[in-house]
Amino acid sequence: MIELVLAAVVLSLLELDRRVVGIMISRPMVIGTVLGLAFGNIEVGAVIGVLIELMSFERVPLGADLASNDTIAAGSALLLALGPKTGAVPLSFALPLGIFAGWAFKRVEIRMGTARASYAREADRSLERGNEPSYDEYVRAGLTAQLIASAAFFSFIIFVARPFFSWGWHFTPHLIQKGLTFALATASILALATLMHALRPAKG
Amino acid sequence: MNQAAQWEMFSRSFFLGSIWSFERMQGLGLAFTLAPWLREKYPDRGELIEALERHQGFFNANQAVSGVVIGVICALEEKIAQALPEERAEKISRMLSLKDALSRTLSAVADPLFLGVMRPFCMALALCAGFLAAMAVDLGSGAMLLSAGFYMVAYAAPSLWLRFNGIRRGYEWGENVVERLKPFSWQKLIRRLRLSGFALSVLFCLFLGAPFMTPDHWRESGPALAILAACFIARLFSVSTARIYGGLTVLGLLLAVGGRL
Repeated sequence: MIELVLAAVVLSLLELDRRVVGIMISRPMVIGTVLGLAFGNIEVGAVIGVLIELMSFERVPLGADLASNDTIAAGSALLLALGPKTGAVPLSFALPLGIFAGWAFKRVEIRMGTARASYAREADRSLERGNEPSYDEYVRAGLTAQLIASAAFFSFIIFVARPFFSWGWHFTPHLIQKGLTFALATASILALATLMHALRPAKG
Repeated sequence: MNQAAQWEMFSRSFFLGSIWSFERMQGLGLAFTLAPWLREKYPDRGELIEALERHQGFFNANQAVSGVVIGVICALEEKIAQALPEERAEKISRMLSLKDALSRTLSAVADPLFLGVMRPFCMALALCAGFLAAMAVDLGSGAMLLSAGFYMVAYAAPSLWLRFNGIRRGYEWGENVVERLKPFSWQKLIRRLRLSGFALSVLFCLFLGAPFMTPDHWRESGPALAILAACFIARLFSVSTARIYGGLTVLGLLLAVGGRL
């Protein structure tokens, strides 16, 4: 369990790259491969990373139109599927759950994006009083809030979702299990179709 | 602009999105990035406060091209600081219009280029490179690491280069930025990247599928090709990947019910 908590801490720190640095260390393909290697199961890590990365090409996030958080999606799927065998969620279940987690975290980000407007109002008040706003403090606070949100989300995945879905898998009807296994087997085809669609020669 | 100022602006520009909000997007981040430059140009406190006020409003630019916009703002703010008081209002108004127009236009090109095409293109390149490397040398899990590293560097390197050099270029070009950017054929670049990326992704499919493209394997490769075509067509109709994934789960369930799995 310790290794999962450490992985969650690393993932939360890497997630900041999405918002600040932007040098791709938060991309699903990178975190999937590295975490898979760290857990001694690079195949599972790479499958999760590559599939979620390819699926993320379906949409270009523009301005206020936030896309699903694919770092959280990949991180959640990895935390569900990797680690101690007992308590791990099968990959065929972990992948769709991860995709759902990325979508759910988008809701959190929408709330945070609205709440961060308070910094702008505080900065306006500072300027009105003739003081220079403490931008450094706003940056620190903004990043800390983001870090806490993703760490809390990953903690929920490790301590609540992982045991619940690992236990729930055994009670999932056999037919649904087969459906999920089939979807995982064909996910690479879907991922490649998404890549080809994103790069299809456009008209004009 | 000296190198130290360029580096400071570059390092601060990483935090443009750290206080992103729906109301002002990267506005506060831009004020944070420009603060040291403005402090230097406006020793008078009142003027500094006015300058900061100009830049903490709404601002949104693609990260890769944000450097050019920041450089142009630095050049124009420097001119405003040196201008006579009666000339300032006009210069400020021109600077704000240019900042707004430039950030919108450059992002309209950079978003489809970097996020829409470069990322999938680098992915297709990384997958092919990893596959070929694994075929040539027995790399084991190293092939995946190589692909991931290649993907990261292939995308981040040009993006960071553009962001860093954009600050200097933008500063040098100043108000002439539009004239200087005109010769770049962005659309042609996007089209070429798309086409070569599409060819690479088809090539990767062929690499993966080649061993199964024989009459003996037709029972497996036929349905796989049909699923590929169906997924591609669904994407053409803007069906989300999550929904397609759900559809594949239902298909699997139906096949299991029919005893085909």
